[in-house]
Amino acid sequence: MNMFRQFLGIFQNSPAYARDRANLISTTTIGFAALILNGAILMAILILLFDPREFSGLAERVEFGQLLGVVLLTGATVFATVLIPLRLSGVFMGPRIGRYFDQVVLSGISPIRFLMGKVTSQNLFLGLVLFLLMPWFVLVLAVGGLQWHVFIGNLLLLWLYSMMLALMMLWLSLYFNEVLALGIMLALGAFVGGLGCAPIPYQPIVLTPFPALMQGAWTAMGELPPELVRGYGSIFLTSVIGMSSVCLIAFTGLCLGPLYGILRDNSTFGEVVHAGDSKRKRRFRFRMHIQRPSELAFFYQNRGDIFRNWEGLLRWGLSLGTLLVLMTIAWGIYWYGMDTFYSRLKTSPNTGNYFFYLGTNAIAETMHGFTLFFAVLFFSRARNTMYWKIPLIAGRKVSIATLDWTCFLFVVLLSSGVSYGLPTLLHEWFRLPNELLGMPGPIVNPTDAEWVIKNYSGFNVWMVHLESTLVLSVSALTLFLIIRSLCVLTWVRTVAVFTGAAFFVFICLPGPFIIAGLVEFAIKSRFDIGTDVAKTLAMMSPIAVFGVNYREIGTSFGYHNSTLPFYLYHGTIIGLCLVFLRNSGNTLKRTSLTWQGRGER
Amino acid sequence: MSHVNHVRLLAVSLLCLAASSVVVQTPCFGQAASNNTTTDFPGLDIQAQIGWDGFIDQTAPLPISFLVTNQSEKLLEGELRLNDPISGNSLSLGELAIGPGGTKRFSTIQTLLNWESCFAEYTDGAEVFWTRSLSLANERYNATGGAIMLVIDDGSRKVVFPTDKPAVGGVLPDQTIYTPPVGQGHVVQALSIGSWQLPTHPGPLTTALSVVLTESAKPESLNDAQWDAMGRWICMGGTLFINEATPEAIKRAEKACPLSVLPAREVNGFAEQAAGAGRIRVYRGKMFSGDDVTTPLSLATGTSKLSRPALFRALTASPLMVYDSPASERTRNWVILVFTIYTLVSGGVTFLLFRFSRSRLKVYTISVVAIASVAAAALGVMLRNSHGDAGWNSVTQLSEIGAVQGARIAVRSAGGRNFQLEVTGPRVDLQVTETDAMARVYGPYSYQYYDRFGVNSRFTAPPFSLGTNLSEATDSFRIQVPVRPWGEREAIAVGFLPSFSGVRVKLRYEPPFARGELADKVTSVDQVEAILSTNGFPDDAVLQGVWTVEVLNESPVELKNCSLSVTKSSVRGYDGAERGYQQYNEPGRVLQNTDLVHQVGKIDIGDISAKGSKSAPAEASIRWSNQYETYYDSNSVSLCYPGGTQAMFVAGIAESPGLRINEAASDFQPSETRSHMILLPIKADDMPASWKACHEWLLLRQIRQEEQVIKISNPKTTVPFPTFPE
Repeated sequence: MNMFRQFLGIFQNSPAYARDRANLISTTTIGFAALILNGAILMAILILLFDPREFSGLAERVEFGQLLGVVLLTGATVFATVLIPLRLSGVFMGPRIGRYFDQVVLSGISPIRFLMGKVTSQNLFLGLVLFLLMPWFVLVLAVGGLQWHVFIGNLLLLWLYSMMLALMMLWLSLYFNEVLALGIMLALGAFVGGLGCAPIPYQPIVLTPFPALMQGAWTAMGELPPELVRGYGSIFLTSVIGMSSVCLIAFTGLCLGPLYGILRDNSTFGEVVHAGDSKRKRRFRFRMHIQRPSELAFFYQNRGDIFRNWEGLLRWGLSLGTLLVLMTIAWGIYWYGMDTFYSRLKTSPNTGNYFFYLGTNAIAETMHGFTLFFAVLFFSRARNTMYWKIPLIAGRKVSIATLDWTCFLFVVLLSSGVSYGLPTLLHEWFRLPNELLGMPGPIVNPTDAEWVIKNYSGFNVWMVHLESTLVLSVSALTLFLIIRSLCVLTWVRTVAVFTGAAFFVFICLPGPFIIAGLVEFAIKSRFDIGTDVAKTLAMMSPIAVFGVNYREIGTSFGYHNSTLPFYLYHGTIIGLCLVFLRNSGNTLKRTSLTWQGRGER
Repeated sequence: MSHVNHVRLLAVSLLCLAASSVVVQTPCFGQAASNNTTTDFPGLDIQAQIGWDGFIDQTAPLPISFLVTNQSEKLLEGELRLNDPISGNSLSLGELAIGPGGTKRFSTIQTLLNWESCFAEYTDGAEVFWTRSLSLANERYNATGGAIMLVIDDGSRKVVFPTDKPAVGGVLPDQTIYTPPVGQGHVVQALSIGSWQLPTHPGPLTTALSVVLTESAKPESLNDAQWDAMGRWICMGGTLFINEATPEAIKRAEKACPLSVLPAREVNGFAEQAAGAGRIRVYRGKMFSGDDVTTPLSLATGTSKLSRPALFRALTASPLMVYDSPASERTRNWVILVFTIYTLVSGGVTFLLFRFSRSRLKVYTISVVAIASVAAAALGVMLRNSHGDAGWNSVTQLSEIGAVQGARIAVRSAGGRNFQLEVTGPRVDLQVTETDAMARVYGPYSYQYYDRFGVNSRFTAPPFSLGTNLSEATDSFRIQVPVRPWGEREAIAVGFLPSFSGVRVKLRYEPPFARGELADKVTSVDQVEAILSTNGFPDDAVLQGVWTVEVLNESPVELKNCSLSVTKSSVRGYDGAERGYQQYNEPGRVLQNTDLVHQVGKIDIGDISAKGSKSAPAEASIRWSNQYETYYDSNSVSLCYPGGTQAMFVAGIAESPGLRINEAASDFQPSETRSHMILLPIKADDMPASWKACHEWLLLRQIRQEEQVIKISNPKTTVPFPTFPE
């Protein structure tokens, strides 16, 4: 009961809510909302009124009242997509510019209570929007033809969408500057909204009300195959689940807040002071990118004890859990798809071809690659938190670096195992005829057979898959270490991740190819260096390894080159990164632990 | 005690075992055994068909017929339904009750434009008595460009024509198709159906050029509704062939015609009685008499030389739109006005109230929203009760006695739904057409060009689902027009005017090589040949002749913008028409009707007052159009058969002579968009003999010449066409 009261308290007595409520009834808010909203809906209605023949397919099958209702709620949804992030774009910027954010921090108010006030105040805004639409609703009722259950369902989805937008915007504002967060939200809103409007059977984009709003229209216009049309209830339910899940994740993110260590440099409230700043010019001493998250980190010191004592478990558990859930969904779909295809293959072998196994394994490797990229993203930290120690379970502290390494290696091992094991298991499970298992598979055309035998003789599809999985894992480890090395130097994780990824993609991957090209075309003739040297250099890149493995690199390069240069090259990078981390990292580690210990004292 | 317990235990165990064996044999709830096999109700036999004999034209009224026989001892009461499990469409055709030993015919007309499949079922809701899959595929597609001869016979016999065409790929040629020599008429497709398949409305019959009642026909072969439909169709331009051995059926057919039937006269070997725009032809011989196919051939030949009915062609030739729609514009303007004011007052004006306190601003906003809501409610009520607009045009086809009038009515809603439309006029019929649905299926302009997929439907009534007359008054027809707010629909009405006639047209043609007295002597191909060979005139001289048109208007209406259209046939590549693709590419092939084109010439006559007369100037020149209409082109508008010639008198009139939109009983107000015209096709007998002889001579000459070209030349060497590399 006490916990329930605490939970309710989050939504009550927020000064942010009181402030928004006070500002709601203003000429600017009402005038702007009324003018834009009513104007947009009037324009949409005018199109229907002036060119009914153009929409005859829709108008003939959907009642006008229903159509009008959909137009109203679509307008309100678009309005919410733009205005709710816009209204929340000053959540931290306002108090910081107004110079009262320190008061907010020092008042001891819980961050979630402060932020949830902003979320709940969006209900007032939504209420105002719906109130301004009242005459339209009256017209819909008077004209008739409204499907009440659909209308009410869409209204509920609109409310849920508004809450989701508010929570997402606030969550993003913890990590990005509000203007950047607004841009991201608008771009995401347009992208997801656009996809949600598309007439896709079994619409997977259920993070907006658009699939539910448009479903009736698409069905009426015959844009969806009749056998794939879902009922409104099904779309409503999946939309509720989808948006509620995002709300829950964003709410949890808001509760946890950003993980941002307070070191010596950012331990003062108003500014960031690095060693040697007294000798620098004033313009070089502004470090807004550190100052803003540092202030938020101070704000999040006001969280409850439950978060402090279980922070490690909550953060890494949630990250790992999210990744595992995504993996499970992706591999579940893979299993289902393969199961269907294998069953068909068993009954009708001619549906398969000799590229089938390569294709299925390539899908598995692609999923493995994406999993590893997300693991790199999730388990990298900036320099201020990299060696921080946080309570894992019941206040028992563990180093963040240890947690990151453990989780990353766990994901790498798990994903590698699944990526190799699951396709193998599927083959074993179905016990397909031998001629389907080997390479090449069933061949109908003799010319094709000759070509396949010539190009794929001695090809072992499972060894190729094993090596490809291993290459991906090693590459991911290399990328992880490059990013960690950069994290030692930077205060912003995103900068480190994208710089590291760019370095890996644009330098490490094509670098060996460029050097090999230089050797082959420029140095070879002058220094009498053989083509083998160029090939060996090229084989340092995972691109070349995949090209050779999948026999896509061309016969002139050959398919029997050793992959040892790849391992040596990546091993060298890994080694260099480890040495760097040992030197610079240890210095940072000592500083962090010293400062953290001082702070706790 | 212990013994008793053991016995009880044993009994309970046995009971459990027995119960479990029952339970095990019963499928669990989620796996209930389903019975997929459907069986008909014992003693119930239903024959059902969409279209006729495999011919299904979705761009015309589509007949759906059932013959229900109940041999059981039970009275069956239920509903006939059509379902499409793929698209989810479902249609109730109506209630049907049939007693023990009874037989019933049930026919309807429905639009199934967006149906993927069709399952018919007869059910009382609880039990499905009968269900079948009905084909929606048109198996006669290749012949839809030709003419359809509908043969009605209850003996399940099919008409076949002798053919000398060889089998292609082991498949014999379709012997239900009659192909006349090139330039001698339409290709004729014979469709054999039972009398139970004849519709109770003339709409579907407009797809047929002729209907044949065989020697087994009796007055009672068809019910009253079927005879009525037949009579209406005849007067709309249809031709009924009926056997001379069935005088009672002939009398019944005459009685069914809503317009007077004229006495018989001999035409092409048939005793023909004109009835309105159509005719009843009495034939001799038997349709089904062993191997003798003389009679079917003579009927096919007679059908092949019939002109197509002009009524629906003229009605649908141009788009009909409600340009002038004051009611719908008024309501639309109200909606715009109310919500524009609301937008400005709630938005723009609010910006100016920055000096208002919160409470005053609150009061202001609530007041604005409340007033706008009241206005919206009033607007909604006004929209629901609003009257729409109707624009219409009509075509009146005259005959010797009486006329048939067709009207095409476009209606536009002014914001409401489900309006009523009533049209008055003698023997009027009114149906809501599915032109919008057709536009969705076949393209945006198919409301204008009905026949994007075949010539046949250009001359037929547009598709509709049969509606019933809601009016109880005579000579009026009221229907429900389901139209969405500000949406448009179309309806088509047909009425018969027994006393409206009196326009006589007399034509004279003087070839340039035989002026004056000599012109009257040019009555045969041989004479034309003889005169031309003597005087050395060029071939195309026949086109340079002089037409004289005399019009006597005995009707009480003034005729405006009168003109005469003459259609002639020629071979492609002659008379200015371009050669066809096949003519270039297939040397040695047989010349076909597809190689022929129609060309229309027009003579302007001007206005003719009521009870007045007028002659076109003596030297009236005919203006031949540069548009050549091939027989199979989708743009073809020619009514006459391939190789034929025809003339049509066309005039505009100020008022509709028969049909009226009853404003008092309709929810639509007729707008200014209206036009009325009359048509008078000139009978073949009334065409100048000199013109017919010249036209026939010229066409024959072109055909012979083209056959020589095809035979001797190899155009591939002279006309290069791109070829694909080996």
